Amino acid sequence: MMATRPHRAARPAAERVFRALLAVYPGEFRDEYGREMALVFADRHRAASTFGERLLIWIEALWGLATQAPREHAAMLMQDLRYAIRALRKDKTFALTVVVTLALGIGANTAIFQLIAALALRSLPVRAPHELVEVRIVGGSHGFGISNSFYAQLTRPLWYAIRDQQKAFSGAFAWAAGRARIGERSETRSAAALYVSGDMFGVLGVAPWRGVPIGRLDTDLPCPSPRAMVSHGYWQREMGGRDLRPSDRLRLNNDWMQIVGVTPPGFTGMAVGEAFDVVIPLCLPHGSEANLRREFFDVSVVGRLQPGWTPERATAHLDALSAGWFEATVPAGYSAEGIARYKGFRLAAYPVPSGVSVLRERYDRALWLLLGMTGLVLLMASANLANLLLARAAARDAEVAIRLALGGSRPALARQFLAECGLLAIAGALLGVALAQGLSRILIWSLATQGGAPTLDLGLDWRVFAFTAAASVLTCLAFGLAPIVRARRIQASGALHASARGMSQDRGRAATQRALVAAQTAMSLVLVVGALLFVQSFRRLATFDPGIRRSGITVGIFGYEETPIAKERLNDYQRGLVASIRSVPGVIDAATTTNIPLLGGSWTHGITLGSVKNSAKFTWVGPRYFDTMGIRLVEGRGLTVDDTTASARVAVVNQTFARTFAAGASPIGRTLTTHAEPDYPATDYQIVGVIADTRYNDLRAPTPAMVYAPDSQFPNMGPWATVMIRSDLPSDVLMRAIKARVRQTHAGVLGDGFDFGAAINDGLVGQRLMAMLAGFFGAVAALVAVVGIYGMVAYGVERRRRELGVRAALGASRWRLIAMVLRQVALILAVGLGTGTVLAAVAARSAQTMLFEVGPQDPWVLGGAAALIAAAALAASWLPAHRASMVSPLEALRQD
Amino acid sequence: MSPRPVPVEDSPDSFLPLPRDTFHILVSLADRDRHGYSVMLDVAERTDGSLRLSPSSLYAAIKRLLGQGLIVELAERPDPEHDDERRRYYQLTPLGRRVAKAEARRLERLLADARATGLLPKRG
Repeated sequence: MMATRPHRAARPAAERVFRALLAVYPGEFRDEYGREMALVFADRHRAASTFGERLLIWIEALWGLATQAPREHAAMLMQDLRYAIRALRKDKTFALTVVVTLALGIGANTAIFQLIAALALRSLPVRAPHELVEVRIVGGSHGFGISNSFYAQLTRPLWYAIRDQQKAFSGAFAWAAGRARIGERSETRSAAALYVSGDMFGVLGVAPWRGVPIGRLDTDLPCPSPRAMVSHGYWQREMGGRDLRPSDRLRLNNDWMQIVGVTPPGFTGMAVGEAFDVVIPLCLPHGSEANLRREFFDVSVVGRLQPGWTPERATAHLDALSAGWFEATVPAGYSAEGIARYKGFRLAAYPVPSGVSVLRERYDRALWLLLGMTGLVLLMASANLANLLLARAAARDAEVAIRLALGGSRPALARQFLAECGLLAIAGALLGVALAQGLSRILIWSLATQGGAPTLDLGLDWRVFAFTAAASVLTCLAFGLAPIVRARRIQASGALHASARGMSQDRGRAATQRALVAAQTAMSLVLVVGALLFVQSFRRLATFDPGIRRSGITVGIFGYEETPIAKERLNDYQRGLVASIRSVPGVIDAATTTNIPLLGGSWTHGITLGSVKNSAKFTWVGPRYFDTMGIRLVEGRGLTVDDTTASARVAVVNQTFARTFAAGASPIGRTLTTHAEPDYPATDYQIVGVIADTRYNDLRAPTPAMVYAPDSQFPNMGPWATVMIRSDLPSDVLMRAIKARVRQTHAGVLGDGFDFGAAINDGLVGQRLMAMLAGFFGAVAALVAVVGIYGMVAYGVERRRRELGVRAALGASRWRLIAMVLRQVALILAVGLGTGTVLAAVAARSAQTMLFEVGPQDPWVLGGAAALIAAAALAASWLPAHRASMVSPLEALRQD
Repeated sequence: MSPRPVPVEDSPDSFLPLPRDTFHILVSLADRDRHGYSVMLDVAERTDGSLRLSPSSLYAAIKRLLGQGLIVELAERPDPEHDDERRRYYQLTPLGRRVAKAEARRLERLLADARATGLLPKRG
């Protein structure tokens, strides 16, 4: 029969092409029907006699391929998924374990990524945000002038010069974030205000939610401004969300303003994460732009680039005009040196498509670090899942072998495994995204301070979905690939044989498992080291003694602008007010200050002492300030009631000042001279005392040179006072009593206060969050690693049951068997912890700037973490090792 | 390898109506076992060339019919009338035959209805 078959050396070209095109089909379909299809095609092609017929056959064939192949793929996918669902249903505990593990891992990652996206990646909700630039001084103003806010970069006179002369922007505006007083006299509340100059809403392309926006014509009028806007939140909260009426007026900063519009929900101006209540036009307090103070750096200027302009071109343009602008806006009262520095400033345009954010500056690094941590935890969890899957795959060796023996293809098997873990990953990701919605809100809530939580738009956008999808695909591959690689090694006949014996070829699996566990140990060490560093750092911060009393202090802020008091009587009035506060039961001590320590405020003066010219932090304080704040006097005397407006100018300096200006010698009796600044003429102060070094405006920053002078000699006293009050009473209780007393003794004084310690701790929320989360992830990582090690040892003991039985039969003692098992664990630990130590040292260095008084390579931390993990791992191994020692020789041999 | 769902006690009616290609393939296998090309030629001949199956649509249908248990695969054998290359032959199963009959009857009834309402001329 064979002889009658025509021998065909080569197939016709058309058939070869068609065979090649069959590659678009899934492998199984091709294997099954490819040959037959090619034969049919060849038959038809041969039978065709004309070119037209052949062309038609080709068109039909190609059309058939194009329409049928995708269907076959879809059918195959559905079949794989159906099979996967069936397989997972049979093993619900396994499926649930994997899905929950993945959901937690992916959820934590997504939550942190959501925060990063909201804070740093998302564009402002305005028209064409990529066209927005901020105008700033190149390199900053280096403390020149007076600045009251993180965002304030320029003075208003500079802003008006830019507004009138620039050609780079199609529109520009200035803004400032601040507070406003809402209401009248005793009913006054403080609210967050957005101050604007120019057409902010027009430039941003933001339409008001209701009413009309504050436009160019509303701003820069002589004070007070007649019109204002409220935020969507305020409108909902305080105005019931009803339509605006012409009679809607608010008393803002003591002036009545008509509310003409409501800003849209989610609009926070240029500052991401900071909600405001009212929008108030900047007005001109002295009637004209020319009369504005020139040393107040209190606005931020934003422009929209002209069509075709780049930020570089705008910078070149601003740079060319800078010299003239700074020349024309020189503030009065500065030394020649200061003025020369001012005139040297240059402006540049910086793109701000995502707005500006103090939160971003503060937490960006921490969040990325946290994302790294959660990523590692997810990776470690994936390793455990891979082990779980491997164990399950081993249990399914027989099934795999049977399917291979029946002619099943390996790609089909691989697809099956991928379908299973794909299904698990999708379920885990969906649950994870849902979980992340709660987690990210908890994160934001844990960043809340006395001023409330940040307002961030946590919406799910494509970035978040892309991130979650990538995370789940990667984990799916990470834990799903292991069994696939394994399946490739299985021999149909070998596995059948092995499975018939109830044993499988698992040497390869054991090796993979050991490698996974070693990697896990290394990663867990990195995370535990991170946890210890951040927890330690926060503990040191929280208990750090800054040299200033932190607890039992209430900061009272009093204003009496409405009370007519002659300037020369202000000091007497202030002292009377403090005396009245002191007389309140529960008050131990009280003193005024011009600068609240440790909360970020800063007040610098240029100073000359003898031949040394430098700068120091200057504070004017009332008598008993040092006693109130627990600051230790080292030498000389403190400031007393006898230091008055009329007495000699005196000052108390700190030890750093003595070191900086007097080379460590006692500065007592010497005279320091301040450099002239607007309202602060050059003045001589005789040094009468030295106090111990304390922190100045930041717990973490080193101590600068500091000078204290009597409040009575403050050159620029106004109708307000900041009073540090020492008491054992809670701040709110104390303030109620004080307000009641002050109403009697000093009618017309408005007062409010807050707890000093709580405000300091508010500044530590970032560190607290890092410590909390790093600690949590460190603990999770250690747990995951221990579970991994336990699984490995338990499996190893199970696998070597027979060998252990033989050893026991040959006379090995129980302890020898235990030692044998633990030796293996120790080896893996050594490899894992060795690698981990190197990785941890590298990783910790990247966190160095976020740590307080803990070195990133603190040997105690590294050693402690390694010891902790090793101890936990050995403890977890003890149970299976002990079980190994109990293997009865008879029983083990009978198993075979 | 793929696990194929094999309907056990399926009633022929549950398969109806059959897709056009499927019915033609079953009809073509009704008188004898055929290989793919033979099915294709037979269908083309019976429809005067108006239904041309491409290799892709033919084998997609065959795969489905095999899965549904309406046809079975026979061992490969050469086709002496053709080029003698070994080909895979297909055969109607008893279920396949019942399904094809049921579909034919369904079409017959449709035809009868069309005649009854005068849509088609009554049979002479």
